[in-house]
Amino acid sequence: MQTLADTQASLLAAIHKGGEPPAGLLAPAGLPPAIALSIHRGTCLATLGSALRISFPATSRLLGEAGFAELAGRFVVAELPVCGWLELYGSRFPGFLQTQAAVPGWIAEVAELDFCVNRALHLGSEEADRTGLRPLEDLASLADVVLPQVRLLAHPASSLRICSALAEHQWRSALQQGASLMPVGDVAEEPAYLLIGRTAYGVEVQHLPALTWHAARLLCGGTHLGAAHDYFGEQFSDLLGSLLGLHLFLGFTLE
Amino acid sequence: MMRAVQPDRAVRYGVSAAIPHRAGVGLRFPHLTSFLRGEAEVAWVEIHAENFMGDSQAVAALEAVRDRYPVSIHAVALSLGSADGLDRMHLQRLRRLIDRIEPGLVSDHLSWSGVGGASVPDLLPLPLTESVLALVCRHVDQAQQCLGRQLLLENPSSYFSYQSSTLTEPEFLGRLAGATGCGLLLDINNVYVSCSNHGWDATAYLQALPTRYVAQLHLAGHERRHFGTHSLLVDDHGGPVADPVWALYREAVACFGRLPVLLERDNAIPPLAELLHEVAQADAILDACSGEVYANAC
Repeated sequence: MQTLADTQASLLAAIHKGGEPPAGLLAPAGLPPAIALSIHRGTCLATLGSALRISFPATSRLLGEAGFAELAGRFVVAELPVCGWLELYGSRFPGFLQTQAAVPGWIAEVAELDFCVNRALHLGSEEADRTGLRPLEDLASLADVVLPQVRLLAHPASSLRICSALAEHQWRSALQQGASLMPVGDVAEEPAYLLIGRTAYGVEVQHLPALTWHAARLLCGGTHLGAAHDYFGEQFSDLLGSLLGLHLFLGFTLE
Repeated sequence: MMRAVQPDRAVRYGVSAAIPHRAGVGLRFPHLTSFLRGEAEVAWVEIHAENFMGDSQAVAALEAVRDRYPVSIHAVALSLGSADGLDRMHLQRLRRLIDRIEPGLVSDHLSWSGVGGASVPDLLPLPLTESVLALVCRHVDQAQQCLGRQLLLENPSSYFSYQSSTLTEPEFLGRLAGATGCGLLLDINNVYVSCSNHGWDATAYLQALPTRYVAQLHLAGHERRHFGTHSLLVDDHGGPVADPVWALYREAVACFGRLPVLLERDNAIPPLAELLHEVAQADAILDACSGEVYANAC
């Protein structure tokens, strides 16, 4: 006998992929159950496509309405959300775009920026695991001997990305509708080291010096201050000072 | 096996009196400015929880609306009928929103939307069996405990059913409310849609529901979709309330008395004035109710 979990898994697959419905369904008026499921399938595809369009505003403008709808539709068929809060859906859409031969590589970078901003818009500090978390102000009162065991916790809204100058320019232009796009051939040589997150003024995309960005990346990845100091040497104190002023970290734990 | 009714639960999770027993309207982004300015003449508003989760500017705007209008929170993704159990993160997000907004009512649906780590943005019907009833009771218990308050459960619109079902929908809902202390949000359009699709008697459906558990009503539009020579009613929230649904609403008001009633529109959202016209129509029917609740089978 089929369990509820089996029935639900089969139904979900039938709705998502448009396949054969599980046995034991009754559709009204002698309709095949597949017809009834097609109503749910239509709702799902439309809702998820719309959620992606909202989360990827620059990407959808650059690809055009029809182009974006086509790619979003293919992504939706490849991947369902893992939860009912759709603001978080699409984290793998940029990676999906990268695999599409017809899509220029910089479009996937634009999509990355879109999604980082989306995260920054929605993710509050409550999303972080705050077990044992202490406020940053307490760092000053720690004895020097324990400082190397400090691990900083990044704000869940924060993201660090390296992005081509072309992609960043196209992203900003697409968001400021009417601003001119850069010809694709004009690729600046230096990539941008970006911090996307919340500041006192709202969501910002900031350029960081490359070294500061790498220090941020190391610390956001959970590296202890001691190990980071060993890696960066004497300049680490200055790097840490500038990072602590960026609203990047929520607090710290001591291990 | 089902547990006995626990009357103390209804007291513990007492329904908030903050939502007036009048018609309200769903708060949708195109109309937000009117509500922020307090210009919309309506008794209360309802929001979809999942549009306001997290910590966005939308939540700050909702706090400002809440200062002017009573707010009810309607969730769509707790997936209370999922075989997997509840998504704790989602529940926590809902809890944080409730703590911040302090709504008068909180509701979700008798449905499921996810299993095996995947989720669809839709409300799927459940097999109405004793074992599924026990599962949903367990999940409603857990949700009410986590949220620290009563949930209202809404009857779904359905386009298919299960051969394995042994209970009717009103029977399932009544026993669920009796066992868990949850209330019922009766969506009149869903009753009409499901009854039309499955050939059930809508009046008998209303009469089979225990009066004491019904705490809120919903009204919305539907469309008829054709599939060859067949057709189904689809709950699309994309148009005005249909005449037969207004007629069923009158019956419901006669059955359950004055309750908060919500006009829902989620697609093809018209100017606010058009929705407020329907709000006035719903209020007029409430006003015509003498206050006497006609006794039904419960």
